[in-house]
Amino acid sequence: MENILNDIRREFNDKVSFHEKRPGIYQLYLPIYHEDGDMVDLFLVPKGKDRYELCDFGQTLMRLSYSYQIDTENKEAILQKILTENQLVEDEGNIKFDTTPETIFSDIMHVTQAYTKIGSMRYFKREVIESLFFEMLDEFIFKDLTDFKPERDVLPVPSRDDLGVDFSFTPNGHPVYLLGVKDKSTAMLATIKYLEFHNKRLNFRGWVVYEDFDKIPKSDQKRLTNASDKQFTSLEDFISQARVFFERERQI
Amino acid sequence: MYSQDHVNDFIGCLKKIKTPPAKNMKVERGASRNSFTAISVENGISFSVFYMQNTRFPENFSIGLTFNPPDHKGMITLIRCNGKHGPTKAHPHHAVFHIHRVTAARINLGMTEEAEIEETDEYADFDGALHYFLRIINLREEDRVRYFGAPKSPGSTQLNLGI
Repeated sequence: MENILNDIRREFNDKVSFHEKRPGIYQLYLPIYHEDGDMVDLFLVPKGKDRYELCDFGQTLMRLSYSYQIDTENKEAILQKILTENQLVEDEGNIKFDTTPETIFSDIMHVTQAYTKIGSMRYFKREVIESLFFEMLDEFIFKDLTDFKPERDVLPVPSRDDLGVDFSFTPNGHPVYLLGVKDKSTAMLATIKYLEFHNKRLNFRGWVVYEDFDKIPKSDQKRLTNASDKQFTSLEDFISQARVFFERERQI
Repeated sequence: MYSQDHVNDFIGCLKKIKTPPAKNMKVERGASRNSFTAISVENGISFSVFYMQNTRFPENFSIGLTFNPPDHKGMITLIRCNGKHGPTKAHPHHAVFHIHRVTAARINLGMTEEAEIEETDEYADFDGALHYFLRIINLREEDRVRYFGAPKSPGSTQLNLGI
């Protein structure tokens, strides 16, 4: 054991220390830290002649759970993907990686990087993903729907800057307006805008893409259904079907 | 914009339990964990409390208070009482029990990590830390007694929470 600890010390230019936390379990104190100033938890456990295991005894997932729960199949799938891609094995929360004296330095760097990657899953929190809704919508439109001549932030009634639409397309003679809806207030606003355009007898198609249709109260769903021409219940729905509907508009 | 007084008020305002903790801590993926929600008695602000302890190393634990501010997306952890990580030359707080706090300045900059760290000698184990934490977040006494009982003697790490 002393040999591999000396190897680690040498590889890290003596900027590392050790402590036998429990018999046969050595904690490595490395200059690698989380964003809150705590260090990355890493342990070295001998497993036989020149065979060792780097592991965290559940500390990575425990830390993640301060602010993020792996409580859905999708989240679990992402975690398993990170583990598999990094050749890590999880045993009841303990994330492990086999190592040898020859590869110990690169293995330590690899494992700690993977632990911080798992910790970064907290950035997948719903509120963060939600804030990406418009960015993802914008990115898709200006990457995949350019042949329908998209424009951002268009004012269908030039004198009314309070009635702007998120996107306008021109697949044919009339514009197709698109409003992104992510909550009750944007649903109400979309309804008001399309009703106002109808009152002013504009020649247009009014489309809506929801961040999550089921999150919108029933009464707002009904009002917006009556005021709009076409609704996509999610961004995924829009991404998979928008082109088909634009092609139909072209033929009208 | 938040002032530090706001943050301190969130931590220290009198709270009562809304959704009580589970009777037993849940053991999952190497940690025992539990949680409850609370509201401030004066104005009904919602808070969540989590507490968890590594099953292999009882000295590694974390007990945190989070809240969901109306003008900010997502939860902010206001304070977290931690156990020991182990000694390092560069970061002595790792060697001792310590407390992480978020600061108003960091929240205002959009950085919600509880990166303000202070060492503490207020507790010496998970049970002591939990009771200390319940006092500083000002959970009303009847809830403390009802759901957590009296602190056990110093040195005990196996409190009556189903571990």
